[in-house]
Amino acid sequence: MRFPASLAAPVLLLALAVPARADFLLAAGKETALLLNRTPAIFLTDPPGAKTDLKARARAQIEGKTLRVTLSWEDPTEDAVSGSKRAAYGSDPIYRKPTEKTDRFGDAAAMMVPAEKGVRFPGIMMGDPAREVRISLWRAGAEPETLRGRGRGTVEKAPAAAGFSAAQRRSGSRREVAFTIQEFDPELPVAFAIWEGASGDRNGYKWYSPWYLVRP
Amino acid sequence: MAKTQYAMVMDLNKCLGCQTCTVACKKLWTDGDGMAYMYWNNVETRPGKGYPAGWTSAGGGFAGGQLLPGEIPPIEKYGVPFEYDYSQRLFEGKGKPVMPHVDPSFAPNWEEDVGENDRGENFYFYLPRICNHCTHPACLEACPRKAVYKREEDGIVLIDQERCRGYRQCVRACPYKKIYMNEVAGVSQKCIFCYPRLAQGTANACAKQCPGRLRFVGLLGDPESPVHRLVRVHKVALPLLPGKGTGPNVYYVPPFNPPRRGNSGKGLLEDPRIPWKTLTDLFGPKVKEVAQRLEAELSTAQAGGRSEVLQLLIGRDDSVRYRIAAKTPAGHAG
Repeated sequence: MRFPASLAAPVLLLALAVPARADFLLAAGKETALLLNRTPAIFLTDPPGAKTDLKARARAQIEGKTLRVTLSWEDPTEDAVSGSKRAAYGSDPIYRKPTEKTDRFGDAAAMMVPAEKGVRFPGIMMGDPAREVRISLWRAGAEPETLRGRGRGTVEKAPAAAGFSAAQRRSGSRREVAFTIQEFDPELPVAFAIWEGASGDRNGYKWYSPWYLVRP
Repeated sequence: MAKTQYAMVMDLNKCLGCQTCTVACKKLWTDGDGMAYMYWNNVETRPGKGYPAGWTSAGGGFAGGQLLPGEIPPIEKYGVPFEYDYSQRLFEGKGKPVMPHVDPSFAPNWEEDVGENDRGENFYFYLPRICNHCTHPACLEACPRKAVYKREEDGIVLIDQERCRGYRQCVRACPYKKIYMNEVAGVSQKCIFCYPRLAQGTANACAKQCPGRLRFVGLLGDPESPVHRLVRVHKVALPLLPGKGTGPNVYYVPPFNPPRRGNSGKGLLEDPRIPWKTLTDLFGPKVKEVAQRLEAELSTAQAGGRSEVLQLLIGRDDSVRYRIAAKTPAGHAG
C-alpha cells in the first residue's frame, strides 16, 4: 500500500509536535545558556511575575560517576531568610536571635533529577504521583537540603538521600551554585529552578528549566 | 469543618488593657529565637492602628469563596523589637546612656489610650486579639503545602512546623494578620489556642491569667458551655470583621455602656460615646442588636430583676468561665 502524499505534511507536523522526550542537551565541559520559564500564577492573589527574563548558564562536568553542574546567573542582591545575625548585644544569654524582616524572601536554586529511570520523565513541577524526583536545594542563609517530591506541594526532606550536595559562591554580582551528584546515571535528565528573593520568589514563584540530558 | 469547635468569648466591657494576657502568652509560647516581634495575643487600643499597623485594611479573607489579595506586613508595621545596651553601660564602663538599639517609631500598643475624639469627647476601648481559629481559615486555603490544618476533634487551627517552608501565603491570606514569620526557624507560627493546656483540662493561659475575668472558653456546640450560651443562646457576642468570610471562632461582647459626660445613666443607644461606625466597622451591623439586648439586660438588673446574661458575664469563677472538653462528657457537637 502506498503512503498517500497528502498525509505527509500532517504526519510530519504531528511528529514534531509530540516529541517522545526532551531533547535539551547539556554538553559536559561547555557553558550552556538555559531555557528558563516563569511559573504562571497559582492563586488569584498571586503577584505578577517578573517582567524581564532571567539569564542563567549551566556547566556540567562528569568525572567517573560523579556529575557536577555549576549554575550561574546575575544576582546583584543578597537575600537570605534564615540565619539572621545576632545583634550587637547578643552576648547576653537571655538575648534571643531576632527576626529582622518579615517580608523578605531568600535567594535559592535547585537541581532536580528523577529518582529512577523510566519510559517518561517525571513532571517538571517536582515530579508526579507515579514518578518521584530528588531535588538538591541551596537556599541563602540555610544548610543545603536534599528533598524528594511526587508533584506540587508534596516536597519533603529525603531521609536516606546520600550523594547529593550543593555549594554556593559569588563571582562579583554573579552567583554560582555548584550541585554534585555521586553515582549519577547518565541516562537520567536534570532540571533547574532559581528563586530571586528580591522579587518575592518562593515555592511556585520561580524560574524553571525543562529537563536536560547531560552528554559527555 | 471540624466536628467540634473550641471558641472564646471576650467581654470588652471588662478589659483593663493591662496586657497580662499578652505577657502570659509571650512567656509561655513566644520567648524563643525569631519570636521577639510576635504577640500571638495582643491587646490594642481602638480606634487605632492596631498590631500590625493597619491590619484591618491589609486585605485577605474571602469574597465569593475566592481568596482576596493580602499584604505581608513588614517588620516596621509590627514594631522593631528593641534591645537596651545594658552591658556597655553597666559592665564595660562606657559612658553612653542606656538607649534602645533602634530609634523606636512603632510598637504593639504604641498609641495606647489615644483613641479618637467625637463631639469634644475622647473615646477608646481595648481589643484583645488572638488567632480566630476560623471555621473557614483563609490561611489553610492559601497554603500550597497544606501545612496549615484544622483539627477535626476541636477545630483548633495549627501549622505543621515540619511541613511549613515559610512561604507566607498564610500571612497574606489571613485578614486578621495573626500568623507570624519566624525568620530564624524559617517557618510561620501562630496562636495554638493553648491546646496542650486544654488537653489537661486547663484553660488557655491568656484566659486563665486575665485579672478582668473577661474571657470565656468552651465548645461552641456544648449547651452547657459559657461560649454556647453567650453566642448561640443569648446572642450577645459577635465575631471580629465578620465580612471577611472566614467564620471566626473568637467572639466579642461589644462595649455597650460608656455614656457621654453629663448623661449619667444613659447608654450607647441613647447617647453613644463610641460612634456606631466604630463598632460596626469591627463587628458588623448586628452590633446594634447586641447593644440593645445588653441594654435590656442591664435595665432588668437595674430594676432589681435577675439577668442571666449579666450574671454569666460577671464570670465569678473558673467553673462559670471555662468548660474544657477534657472535663465534659463526649458527644457535644461544635
